Amino acid sequence: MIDDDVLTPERVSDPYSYFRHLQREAPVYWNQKYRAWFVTRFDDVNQAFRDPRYSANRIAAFAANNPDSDHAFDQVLHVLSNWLVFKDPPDHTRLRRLLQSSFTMKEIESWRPRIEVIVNELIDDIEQNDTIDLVRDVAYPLPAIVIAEMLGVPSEDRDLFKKWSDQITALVFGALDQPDRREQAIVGIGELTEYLSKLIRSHRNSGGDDLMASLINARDEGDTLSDDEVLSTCVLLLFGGHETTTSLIGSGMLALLDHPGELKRLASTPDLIGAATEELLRYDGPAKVSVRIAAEDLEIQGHQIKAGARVFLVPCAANRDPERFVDPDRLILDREDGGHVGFGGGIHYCLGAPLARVEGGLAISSILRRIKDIEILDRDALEWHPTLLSRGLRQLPVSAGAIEGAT
Amino acid sequence: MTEPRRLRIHASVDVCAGVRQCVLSDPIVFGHDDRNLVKVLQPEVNDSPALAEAITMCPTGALSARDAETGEIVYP
Repeated sequence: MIDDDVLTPERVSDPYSYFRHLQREAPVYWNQKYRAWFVTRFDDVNQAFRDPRYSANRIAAFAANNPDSDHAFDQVLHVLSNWLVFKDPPDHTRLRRLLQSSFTMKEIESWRPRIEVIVNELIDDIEQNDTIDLVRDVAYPLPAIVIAEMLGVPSEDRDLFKKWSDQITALVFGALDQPDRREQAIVGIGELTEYLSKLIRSHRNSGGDDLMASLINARDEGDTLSDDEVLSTCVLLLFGGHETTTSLIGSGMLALLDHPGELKRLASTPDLIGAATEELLRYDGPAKVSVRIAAEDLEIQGHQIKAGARVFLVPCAANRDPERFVDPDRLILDREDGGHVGFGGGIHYCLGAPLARVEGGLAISSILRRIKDIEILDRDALEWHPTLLSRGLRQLPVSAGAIEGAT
Repeated sequence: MTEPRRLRIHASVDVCAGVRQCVLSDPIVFGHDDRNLVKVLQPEVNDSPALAEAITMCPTGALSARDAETGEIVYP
């Protein structure tokens, strides 16, 4: 018997045992509670990500399920409908081309020194605190500060940005513990769009060389982004780059603390950080479930999937598939059978992947370099966000020996 | 007029995630197989803006181009 509740307290804290069971017993499983097919094997998930017959447009279905929509909620849907994560070709192709040119690995690499400074400032600030919470002190503030800075948001407005990001995240990631999430998201998106509209207007007038300017100036054979699209994209970047990167850093540090041998190895071999970041994404990355809609009748592993059906691809299960990885539940930083679907794949492959890699790598290596003898305060008391699509720690309280200077 | 330099194209299928930005930028050099993963159609070509764009736009770092004579990395 398979139980359909994916978000029991045990499964929120450990989704892997549940999905392992599913993978073995029913790798393509119709979950009546979610009214969706759960696909859990690596090869199936990986193939489906690259298969155009799986649509990413779940906004249309979402709107249809919320017929009592009011003006404010329509505004939210309007912003979301411009997000390329919810688009199919040819609309997706055009937007992705324009955004990709602002988000190349080279462009992101040029931010590395600045991101390192921000990480170090966050660690400097820890010294004044009594307790250390690696999520609250580093993992949570870092991505919001970085994306705000990349977009040209003045530093005094950073806290506003973080607040809006939280409100929108709750809606998109389906936080069950926040029954007012719809209202929160409406307020958040309303305030954020108003703020961003002003920021875009001032950029149009004054220029600049930040990411916002790059989006405004993005050209593809004479095509450009409209103000509406720039705005929606900024919201997407803020939201998409925040909680996920926070989770990568938080879960990544936890995984290392749970594997002291690997932590020690990374601390003494800083060059391992690139491979380590990939392994941490595989081992316990932020992407739990990715939603797709069957664009036509499909068959996976002998199961007939009707056009319009919801298909939940489960990267966190795929990344622990014993058919794909030797000893999948072990953290091996320089794993020979590396690779993962933590960033998805195909045309929707995470646009922010290069940024997540830089931020995650810098945060983790700086924490290990500067904060000595880290120990988790209470391993059993750690709590995870009770969300279906993503996975992340609420907090990671630790004790530490010395905190060393940045240089 | 100087001859455009010859470049050798390398694509790592293990790293490729099938995003297919390269196919859009330079469909003469890059295609994809039946798994939607990158396939180099022309392993040695003249340098061109389309090729440079294709390699720069790859979000996974699966692509590179070297000078065919010196072996020096030209892109990314």
